Amino acid sequence: MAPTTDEAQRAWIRQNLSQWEGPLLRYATKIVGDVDVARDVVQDTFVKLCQQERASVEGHVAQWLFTVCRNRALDVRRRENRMNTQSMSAAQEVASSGPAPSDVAEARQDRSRILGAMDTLPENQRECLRLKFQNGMSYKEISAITGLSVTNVGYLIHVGIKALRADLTGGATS
Amino acid sequence: MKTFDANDPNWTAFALGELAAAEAAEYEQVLASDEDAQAFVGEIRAMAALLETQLEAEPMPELTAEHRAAIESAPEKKSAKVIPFRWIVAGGSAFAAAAILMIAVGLPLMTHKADPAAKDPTMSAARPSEESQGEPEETPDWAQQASADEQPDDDGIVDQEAPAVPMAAAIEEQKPADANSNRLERRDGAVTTLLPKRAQKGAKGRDSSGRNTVDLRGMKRADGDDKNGRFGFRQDPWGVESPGKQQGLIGNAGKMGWSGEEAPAAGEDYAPIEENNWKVAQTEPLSTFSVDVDTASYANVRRMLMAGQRPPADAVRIEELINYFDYDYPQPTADDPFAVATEVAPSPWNAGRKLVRVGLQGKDIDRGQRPASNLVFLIDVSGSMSADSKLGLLKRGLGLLVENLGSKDRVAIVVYAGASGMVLPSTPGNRTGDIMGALERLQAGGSTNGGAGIELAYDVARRNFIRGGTNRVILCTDGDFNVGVTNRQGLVQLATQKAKSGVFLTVLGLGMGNYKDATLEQIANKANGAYFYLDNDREARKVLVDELSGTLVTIAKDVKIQVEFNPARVAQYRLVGYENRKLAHRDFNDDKKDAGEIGAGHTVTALYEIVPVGAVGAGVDPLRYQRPPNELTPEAGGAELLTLKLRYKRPDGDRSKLLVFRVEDNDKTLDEASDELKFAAAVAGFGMLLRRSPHAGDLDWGTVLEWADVGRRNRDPQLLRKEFVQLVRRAQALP
Repeated sequence: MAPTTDEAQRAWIRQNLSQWEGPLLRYATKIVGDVDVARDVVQDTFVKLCQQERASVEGHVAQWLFTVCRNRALDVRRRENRMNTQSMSAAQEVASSGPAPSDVAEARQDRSRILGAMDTLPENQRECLRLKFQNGMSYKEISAITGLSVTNVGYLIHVGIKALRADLTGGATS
Repeated sequence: MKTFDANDPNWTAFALGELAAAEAAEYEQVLASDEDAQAFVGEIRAMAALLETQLEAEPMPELTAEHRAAIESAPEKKSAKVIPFRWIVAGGSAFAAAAILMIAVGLPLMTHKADPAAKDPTMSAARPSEESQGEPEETPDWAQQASADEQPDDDGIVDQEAPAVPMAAAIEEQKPADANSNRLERRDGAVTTLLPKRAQKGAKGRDSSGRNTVDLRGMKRADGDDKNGRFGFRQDPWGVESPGKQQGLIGNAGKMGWSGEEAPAAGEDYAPIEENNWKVAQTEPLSTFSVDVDTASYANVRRMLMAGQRPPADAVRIEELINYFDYDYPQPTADDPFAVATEVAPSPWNAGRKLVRVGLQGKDIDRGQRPASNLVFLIDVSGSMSADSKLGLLKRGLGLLVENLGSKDRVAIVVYAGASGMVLPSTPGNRTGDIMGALERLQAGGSTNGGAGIELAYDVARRNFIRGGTNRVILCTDGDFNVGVTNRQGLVQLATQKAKSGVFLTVLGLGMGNYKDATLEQIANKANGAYFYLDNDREARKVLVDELSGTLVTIAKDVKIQVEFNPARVAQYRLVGYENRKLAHRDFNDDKKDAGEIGAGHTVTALYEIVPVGAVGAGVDPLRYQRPPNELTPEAGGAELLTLKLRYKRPDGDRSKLLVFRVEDNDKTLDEASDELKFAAAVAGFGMLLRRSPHAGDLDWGTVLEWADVGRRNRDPQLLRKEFVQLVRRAQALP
């Protein structure tokens, strides 16, 4: 009647998979620049999670997943010597269902204002901004994931936001 | 003494809620008086909201079936320490009888931190360096590292889930032994409970529905952007005054096609409000509506104004602005749960017209006299709640409330995201450590299945029902329900049906960007609920501590007001606000028809604007072919302007009681009007100007400020009126 502990562990993995698959894929795609490669990275990440003692990651699963996923993605990028191109299109092509193409195009145009400005930032700023505003991580969690100090994370986010504001203004006046 | 410096990263950290409480307090102090700092913080927050929305709209890729299969078949840790099954034995109380299966399924929403301050050791190995080629994720050694990081960093930036909860910290300091033992007990009893049915359905359903929803949501958001094509940026008054500073984004946003009109966020959802129009007393002598003690709209409007945005007209519900404030009305003396006071004075925005104020004062209850409370916190821990302005703020706020509970009270915590679960079974209110611990461990993630959460929460509330006490579900969410029962009608129906159980509802709205005001307001309306919006810690304190009795204790329900105007005295009238509280006239006497609740100590204020007979009317010409067809009663010949009728029920009653008052006009001048009426009129005027109401006449911000200031000097125990004056100034400076 009661599920076994193995089943409970499986259910726990599935829960985390359904919750974090999308965010991790989005994040990894930005690092490796290719959604197919990102899928392998995320798969590896979850395989690692299967091998974890649940108690050891309980309570900070998201931070753990992003940390492992990031390391794996950087490894892959190094190994394949893949340039990080930051193309939005790679991520967008995989949206399986959604509005008509024209809607998407319009939405993309609208988004690209700020996201386009973001693409011009140094990678470490971009990454901190994404972790903070796309994945809701605190400075401290970002520090843990990236290995940067909390002060450094605070600085990168500060400078990143400042640059985005300046960029958008410049774009408007030129 | 700290000063404002736009180049100091800590100011950005402060604006984003990343500073430790102690340090944040210093920044708050500077902020209070430094307009540059206010502008800066507003802009950073607006930028953060913009980034959040835009980044959230980015498409979410999915794994392929093969990838998923590979994960499914991955070898797993055999020695996994999973919490064994057992039956709930909560302090050996009657709870044991409640046969709930405890299952150690780690729903994402129930992830319990073994130690909230613990650091993941994988991080030290997780540098993006060459070594990470190896095996970075060694099984961490928790015990050694657990305390490494209890203290905030030197720079004062702390994890938003670390004890940034001042109250929680204080409590644990005061009674360390107690708190520790609670925590230990919790740790080994760290269990999650699920209704068995849900547990079986389990992850599969969520797998597919969860993903779909995420996609749809992203698309919906993008859609919204298209339609509105703009974001909440506008010309900021301070930005204009100091154009040399780095404030260009806001100053120039308009040029980029981000028009600053009804901007706050494309994802926010407000039900349209069509303002009440003028009615002719001869043909339509009755006006019927339900009372409303909600204050959400005021706090939401404040949030937007503080961020330098003009709130969309539909976000401005004037009755909620007026009722945000307490007024100095006489206390009830008789047996009735509330007293009624009326006043008539000239209208400040239309010469020759008058304002009639109806004020209800609910009976106050001494803190010590508050009946026992059975509370169920129903907390949305979906991904959209993760920001500190949502879950962080909520944890602090509920922590404050819990501090004020006693041994006769009970608290349970139910969370919902992709699935719903109980993270804290109903627990005596004096076991603060347990409750705080459970609150602190909450983490956000996943999609939102509000329907299932509501079911479970009411179930828990009913099982712990306290007769003669307060039985209340406190729903805390941004309202962005996207899994399960998602359409507004479905949720409202569910809530309506649940309200019949005698359990009342409080809705605490949070967050921005995807805020679903319309859904939440309607749920609260239909489910014997009150609706508040928490935009900051002060508001949380107001709702959950200062006005705790009013928030928890309902003293009268289904309170309806019907006014009959005397056509011999009143030519036309208009109810200010209460647009979505209107009732059919016949429903006034129908006890089956639901209406609003009044909490202990609450005041409710309604304003009518009237055109006295003989004054210049509003837009309606006299009839050419008819004379007044109605025969007037002798009463119409007297001085009475109107008859005010109220109906209410006791909180546990089924039959209403009727109260009747006659209101006369004693021809007060503007100067003779009470300061309280002036303040209420100022708040109404503020709302009308924000809404760009066609009925605002010759009202201007100057008049609003003047009357607001009169009211402020008269009475302002919580300094809320002072803040109102500041908000009016901000609104006045909007382009």
